[in-house]
Amino acid sequence: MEDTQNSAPGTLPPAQAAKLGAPRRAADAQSTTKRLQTELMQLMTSSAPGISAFPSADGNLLSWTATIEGPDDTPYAGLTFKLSFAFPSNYPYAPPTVLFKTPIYHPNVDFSGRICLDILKDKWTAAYNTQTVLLSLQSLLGEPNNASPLNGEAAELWDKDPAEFKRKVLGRHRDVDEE
Amino acid sequence: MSKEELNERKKRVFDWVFGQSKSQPRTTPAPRFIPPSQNSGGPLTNFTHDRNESNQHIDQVLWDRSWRTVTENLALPDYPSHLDPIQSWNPEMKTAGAGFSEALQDLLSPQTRLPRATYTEDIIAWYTSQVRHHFMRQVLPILPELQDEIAPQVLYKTITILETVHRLYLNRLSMILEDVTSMRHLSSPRIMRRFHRDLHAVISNLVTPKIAASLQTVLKWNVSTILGLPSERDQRKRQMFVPTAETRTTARVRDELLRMIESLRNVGLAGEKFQIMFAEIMNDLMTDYVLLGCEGIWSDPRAQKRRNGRRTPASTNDRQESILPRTAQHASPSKCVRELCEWIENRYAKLVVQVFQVLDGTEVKHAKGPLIQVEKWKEISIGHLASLRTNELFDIILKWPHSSAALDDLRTAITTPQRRLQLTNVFAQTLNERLLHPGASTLQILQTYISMISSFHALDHSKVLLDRVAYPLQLYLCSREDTVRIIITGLLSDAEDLQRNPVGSGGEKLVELASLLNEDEEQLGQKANDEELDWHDPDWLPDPVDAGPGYKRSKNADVIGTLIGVLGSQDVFIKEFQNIIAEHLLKNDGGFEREVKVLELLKARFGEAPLQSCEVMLKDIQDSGRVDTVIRRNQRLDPSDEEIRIANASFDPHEGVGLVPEGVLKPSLHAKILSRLFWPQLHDESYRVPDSIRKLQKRYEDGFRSLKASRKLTWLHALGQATVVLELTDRTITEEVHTWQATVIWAFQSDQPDDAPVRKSVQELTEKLEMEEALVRSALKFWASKLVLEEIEKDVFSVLETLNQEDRARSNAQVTASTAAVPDDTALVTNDGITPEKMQMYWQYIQGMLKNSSSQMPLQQIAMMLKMLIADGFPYSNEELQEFLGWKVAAGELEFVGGKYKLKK
Repeated sequence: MEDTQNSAPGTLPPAQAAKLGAPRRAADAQSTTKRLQTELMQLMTSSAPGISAFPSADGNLLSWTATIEGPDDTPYAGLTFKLSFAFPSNYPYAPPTVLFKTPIYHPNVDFSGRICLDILKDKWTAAYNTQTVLLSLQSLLGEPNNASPLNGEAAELWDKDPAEFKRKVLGRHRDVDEE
Repeated sequence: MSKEELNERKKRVFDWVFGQSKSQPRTTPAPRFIPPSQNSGGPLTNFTHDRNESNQHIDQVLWDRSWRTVTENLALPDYPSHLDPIQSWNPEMKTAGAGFSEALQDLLSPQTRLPRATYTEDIIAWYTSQVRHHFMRQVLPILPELQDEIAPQVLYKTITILETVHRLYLNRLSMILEDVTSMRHLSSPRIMRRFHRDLHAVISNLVTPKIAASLQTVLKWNVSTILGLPSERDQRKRQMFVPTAETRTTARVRDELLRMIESLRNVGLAGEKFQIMFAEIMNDLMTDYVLLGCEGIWSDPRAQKRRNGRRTPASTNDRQESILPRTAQHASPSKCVRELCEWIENRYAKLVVQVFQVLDGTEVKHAKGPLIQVEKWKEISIGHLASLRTNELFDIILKWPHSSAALDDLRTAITTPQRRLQLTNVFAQTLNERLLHPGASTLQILQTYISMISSFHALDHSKVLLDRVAYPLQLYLCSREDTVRIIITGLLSDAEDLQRNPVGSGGEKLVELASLLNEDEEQLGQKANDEELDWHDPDWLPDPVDAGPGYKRSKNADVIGTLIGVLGSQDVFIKEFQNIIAEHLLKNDGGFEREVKVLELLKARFGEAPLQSCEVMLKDIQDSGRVDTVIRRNQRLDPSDEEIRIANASFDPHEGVGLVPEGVLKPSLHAKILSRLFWPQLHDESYRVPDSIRKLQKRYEDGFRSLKASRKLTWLHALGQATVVLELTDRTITEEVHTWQATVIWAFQSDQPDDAPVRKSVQELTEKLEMEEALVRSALKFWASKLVLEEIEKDVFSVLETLNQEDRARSNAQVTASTAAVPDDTALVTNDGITPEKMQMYWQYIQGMLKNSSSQMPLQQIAMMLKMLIADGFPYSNEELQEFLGWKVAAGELEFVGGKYKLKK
């Protein structure tokens, strides 16, 4: 009798474990964490040129910072853009929230950095990942979707006056200082 | 009876029968303040009808007439419109006129005097409703509005006006009551009471909402002054809050307040609503006091002082006993609780009792009632304190052991299972938010855990609370890989520095454990298991009601035991301990006093059997020393006296610190002989050792065989240390290195000093030394970082015989750097150094990190991020990472500025 009562150290009675509810929640968070770790590993091992991303410095795996270099032959050539990724806790079943941190002049990006891109909204599937999103964004820089602009002026200038467009791009671009 | 009187009476009878005589002016019955249509309610309108319909009912007519007389007399004057509300209004106070009394008699007892009057009405009810109307129409509109006035003034004006109209109403009522006293079936006190009740109901319902805000402001201000609390606006005073003693001002304010409450009661504003308001204010101020007086005060500096003060300790104790509520009596009171209870008793309860007395209008004696309530208030205030402390608990624990007073507070308060549950719930949540996330280092978590164990033990000897909050923490610790290692290095670290001062806990090791282990030494003697049977224990308490089924009592906090319990079982712990102690034993020479001591302590805790192999390991090392001496003497491996003399002469004792003379002229060999079965899995990479060493090993083997015939030596080449002296053209380098590093540099040895620097490719070295490529590369990298080798083309290294100026500067910098941070190589069992294949991947991570997360990061943070983000874990120590980053700095890819690494642009 005495022995059954004194369970081994470290193993708590199941009732108590269930009450704390830690394992279940941990399991959910675990799968998101695993997925993000895997994505990070993939990004690190097979890096595509011009894009990179990494979790933020406070160690929160759900919040990343990414860098995109403007592709050559576009008005954005030679510029780098910082973005923030906020992953929801049910990622990858919901898209991350992606914002441009660097001010950018682009038909599909508004002045607070919000992006109009279908795969970040209704076209999102769990098959996408950080790398594909970054590649899509990189190509969006060269081929804006002028049919549904967030920045009407930019959409207009893109077709009419490339020189003025380039001037505006350079005028708006600023390197964001961290810290 | 005089004639005149008789006449008078006759006249009165005549008047009764035939109505008012012409001599009396016939005023309109309508009182001035009421529109005629609403005149005096039912009876009068009926009166006209009746008179037209029938004159038979003389009684009725008489009654109506009396009614008119009385109502005219009782008519209430309008509030004079020209009066400024500030001026006081002095309405005319009437006394009963002629005929009034008679008429009143009729109205009061119609059954006996006018039995046939059909329509009668209660004059008092009528008067009450008149008063109500008057109040609504005349008084209510002129009560000052709050918006543009200062709170106390509004209040005092309202009170003045209400007092005046009160006087007016009562004056009229007293006219009635004068006559009532002569009646048998009515009692004037009862009527008075009813009237008061009705009037107060009207007033308190109509007026209280209007003045509630100002009343609250005034009350709050007054009460907080009396209780010695600073007002909400006075931030400076709030921050440096010191409970003040009662002064003359507080006494004055108290009198004022009591007077005000008395007038409020008189005018009927001290009803239920007022009492609720007062109760709310008192409750708020109690919370406020607890917050101001106790927040963040976790230590008890005054306790000591007070004990040394004038009062003798005994009398202090007596006072404390009496000041506490009975429920908290058993605990030793802390400063906060004591002050709180004193405050409740001397100020809070005093005020409340006084207010109650005023409200009741009686002199309540300090009987049992208030005393019980004072007890209750103390309990409530301690409850407030408990919830404050519960919210602060995490910080209190971080401050431990400088926060014992706060824990005392909490212990006084957590007397019910509900409060205990609340405590653990709140704490578990804080713990999750503030500690159990990747941002906290394992060391930090463990330190907090140690504080938690001790604090919760102080809080609740039964461990029930700790078990409830610690479970998520334990789970989390199990998910951290470095937990065990940190615990063990903590146990093996020095609790005292060289000057025998205790080492602070801010360092990178868990030195708390070492000191705890030392303290435990004495306590372990008496076994805690017998506690259940100790019938002489005066402090025995039953198991707490909320203890779980697996509950086991234990008396001391047993930090180390609990920590080891975290790891699931002692096996994990002992295995890791074995690994770490093996590392220590192989790497260092000397007596290993600390290891022996820790081992002894652990044996006392776990028993002999599980630690047997550690015992053998230690014995191996100690035996090795003796065997080594014997073999070296037998095989004549020791340098001769002649050699020692030459060696001493050839080198300056000031320079090569730690170099023994025996190694200077020819290679020398010492061995540690290990019993293979008892040691953890060790490196067994093999390679060709240098010939001279090979010869020495052979002689050593022979010596061993002659000493212990049945046993054979197997060499573990990769383990061990070598002291290497390199003589280059322009400098001499002495390094303590691994044997395999020594072997690689030996391969570069050139016998002809005039030759061009030796060149070797990685390929050549791998073949020649029969060594794994990773190991070769690692060693090459090491020597390159020491500026002994240089990579002249890809995978081809040559000796740097001479250094140019720039290199020399770097070399010096490295020497100082390496003395500043002696690399602590802990990777005995795993691979040594960061291998090139893996390096590429880690480098990607570090680049990604510095590019995106933060442009500059300290070493610790990089290490933490790597450990967290790489799914397979990052198996290297901070020192290895530092070394690796050092190469990157040397290669010009990184910059190291102000303790932080950043990418070179």
